[in-house]
Amino acid sequence: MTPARFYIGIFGALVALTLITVLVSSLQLPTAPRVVFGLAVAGAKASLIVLFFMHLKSEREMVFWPLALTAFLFVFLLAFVLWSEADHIVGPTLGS
Amino acid sequence: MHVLPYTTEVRADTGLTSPKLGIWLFLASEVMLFGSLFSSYALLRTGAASWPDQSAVLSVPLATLNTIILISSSVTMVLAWTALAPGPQAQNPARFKLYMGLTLLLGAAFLAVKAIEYGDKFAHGLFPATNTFLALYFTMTGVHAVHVLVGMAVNAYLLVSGARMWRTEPERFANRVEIAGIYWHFVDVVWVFLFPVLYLL
Amino acid sequence: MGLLYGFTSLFFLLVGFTLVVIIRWQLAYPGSPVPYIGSLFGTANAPGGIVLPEFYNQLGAMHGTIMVFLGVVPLAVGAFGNYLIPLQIGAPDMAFPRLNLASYWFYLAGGTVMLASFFVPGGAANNGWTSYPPLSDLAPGTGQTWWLVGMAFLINSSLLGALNFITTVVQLRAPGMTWFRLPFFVWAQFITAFLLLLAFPPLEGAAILQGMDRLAGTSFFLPSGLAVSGRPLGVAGGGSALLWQHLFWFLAHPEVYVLILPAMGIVAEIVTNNTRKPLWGYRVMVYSLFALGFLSFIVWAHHMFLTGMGTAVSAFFQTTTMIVSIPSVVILSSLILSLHGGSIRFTTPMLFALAFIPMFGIGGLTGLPLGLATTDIPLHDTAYVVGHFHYLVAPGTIFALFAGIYHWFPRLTGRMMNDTLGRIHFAGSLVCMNVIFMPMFVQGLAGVNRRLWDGGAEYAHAQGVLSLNVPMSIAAFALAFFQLFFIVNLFASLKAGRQAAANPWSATTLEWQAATSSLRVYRNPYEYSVPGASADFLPQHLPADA
Repeated sequence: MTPARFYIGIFGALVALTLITVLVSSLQLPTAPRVVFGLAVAGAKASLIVLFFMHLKSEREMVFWPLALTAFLFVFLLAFVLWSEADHIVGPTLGS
Repeated sequence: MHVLPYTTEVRADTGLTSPKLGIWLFLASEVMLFGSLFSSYALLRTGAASWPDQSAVLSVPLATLNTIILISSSVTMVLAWTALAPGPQAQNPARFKLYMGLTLLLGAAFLAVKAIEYGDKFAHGLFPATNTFLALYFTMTGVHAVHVLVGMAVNAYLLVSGARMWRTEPERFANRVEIAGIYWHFVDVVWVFLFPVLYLL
Repeated sequence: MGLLYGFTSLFFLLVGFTLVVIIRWQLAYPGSPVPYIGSLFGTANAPGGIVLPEFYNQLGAMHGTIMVFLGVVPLAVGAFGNYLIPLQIGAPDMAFPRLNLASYWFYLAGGTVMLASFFVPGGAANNGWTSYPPLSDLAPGTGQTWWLVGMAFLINSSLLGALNFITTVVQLRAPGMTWFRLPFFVWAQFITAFLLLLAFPPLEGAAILQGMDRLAGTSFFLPSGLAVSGRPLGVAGGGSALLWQHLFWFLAHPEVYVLILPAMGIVAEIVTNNTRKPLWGYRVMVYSLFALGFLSFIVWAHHMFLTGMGTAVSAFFQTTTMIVSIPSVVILSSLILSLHGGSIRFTTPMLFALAFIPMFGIGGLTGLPLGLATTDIPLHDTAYVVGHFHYLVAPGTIFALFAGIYHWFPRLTGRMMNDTLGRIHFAGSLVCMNVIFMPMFVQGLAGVNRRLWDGGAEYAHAQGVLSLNVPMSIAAFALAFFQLFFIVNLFASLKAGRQAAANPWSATTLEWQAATSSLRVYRNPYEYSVPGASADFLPQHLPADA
């Protein structure tokens, strides 16, 4: 398979995933499955682009480790911002 | 012209050229930038008393079209690089120009659709100040659009100046196209997340 | 490039220091006109030379911003890093020279915007260097917006610089310069670059959001139902002031490690050189740098203990904060152990490097009660905090930077700086800094808040400690005086300093050799006093059998 055919193949997969995610979102699922599915499909599409268009699959350790650290920090930032917001001490309101 | 080592040739113990490492490090910082904006979205939405039905406020068909446009531009971008990359098939600068031109066209189309979307919102009195969701929508897609614009400027430069460098330093030029491609694909990846988060969820 | 950064950052340090000298006058003698220069501030800021609260707040916010972002980091990273890294690793240049120049121009642009903001209507940003909303969102005038623009320039400068540093160290090491033959200074800069690369972007994101709030009427950081001066604010609401704090501190905590790591690197180089012994525990110190770098990203909410966070989140961040102190202690202990059994030369750089150790120790130890939520409750936002971090930055980092300037001046210029002036500079600065910052712990424990325009004059419970403000301020003025010895020394030695030998400190690392990019490395970085060797030091480029 020539490189061009391979990339077109990935393109086809990406378009298919896009259409799937739009169709599923029109089903009006409850929040949790909707979010999980939407992000999962986005993650799959992003992985295809990163691994194959950006050639990360064949890239070296020296690139991989900074990216792994970055991914960890992004998840940590997201998670802890949400956690601190959820785990709040609600005191008496002022003026009451 | 004096060129620093490992600009075009790979360093043995790391397996990388310097520009390749540089662009990935830059993208790592961009992940943190967009990551902070996505985190802001998550925080503000989960903390909100009420949140508008996003797909009712925004146009899902237009955004789906834009998603296809941007993904297509990623394909044309990687095909532009394939036309110049060292390998078994012959290099073809004319094919590079075709695909790079298409990438630029598709990028412009993306921005045009975005402009239509924004204009439509403003015409209906919907502005960033209107509510938190719209503030996030305009800011996140705005920052993304700026990145698209910068990518297009780089691609335009490569298209226009390419002929000369292809004649004198073909491998270095091919690498530059690859690096620009990696950036452009990243811009696509960000949109791949923006689309469901802002339009579908 | 290093030189450009060096002079620019020293200029900004001077500006930042001048701002605080005015603050110290106001703290010692609240409400009395600033002598000599009071009339220069204009009637909007200081009618009759008496500092108004709004102007005091500008001085405070800009002192912090300028010292951290325009002074210390550009000097520690931009100047020392750009100059020494290529030399110490045997590289011909930084990996991306033009990007490097762009970094500098962004820095200069950011600095210009920051300084210019003093002259716009309403003056410079006056919401603390931390710019907490809702206050910063709603601050009148354009100064705060200028601050956001300035920060955007500075952040981009740092990002480009960081990726340059990382790529250079990875890709352009000379043949034979393996990872564990790198001087500790290079390791410190390498880890610092990762901190800058990954921690700064969320602040850029936050600055964009605050810019939208200030310019486009959004409410990213404005909660619903907010009333200002008794009237409800006419914005959509729904925002979160805490969101800013999270994004800000996500950067600002790693930022303080950006401030200290290069300093540790400089001190390590000078200590090993002036004890004529290898660094004790070099490998452990390097692993500690990794630990410090990684942990620094996951402690940030210890700046937010008083925001109503729940016990689970609080416990998590207290734990990580306590753990992050361990690698610092390891590094400090290694430096102390490096002294044991050494033949110590008390050169001027060594004096500053030696003083760094206990001063950093005091700064670090005083941080422990701040890192535990219960003890943080009475201490948060008091003068105690100000004392804590100043011990780390002033007799800590800045002393290390002075040490570095005295140490590498001969490499840069071929001349030595004057020893006598250097020792006077050292002694005067050390004494004055302690007189300024030690009483802050006392004041903080007595409950005096930070950022108070009148220094706490209205606090009945703290009257006893407020009188300390007078000797503290006198020490600040004296500190200014003692910097003259340094400034004069710097410029006079440039012209007429004693000619230096090629490697005046008899150092092992590559930067002291000529034509560093053509060298090959055969040895570890600190081969001092090797038993059986012909000399008391063996430079890294000397072949193994010599």
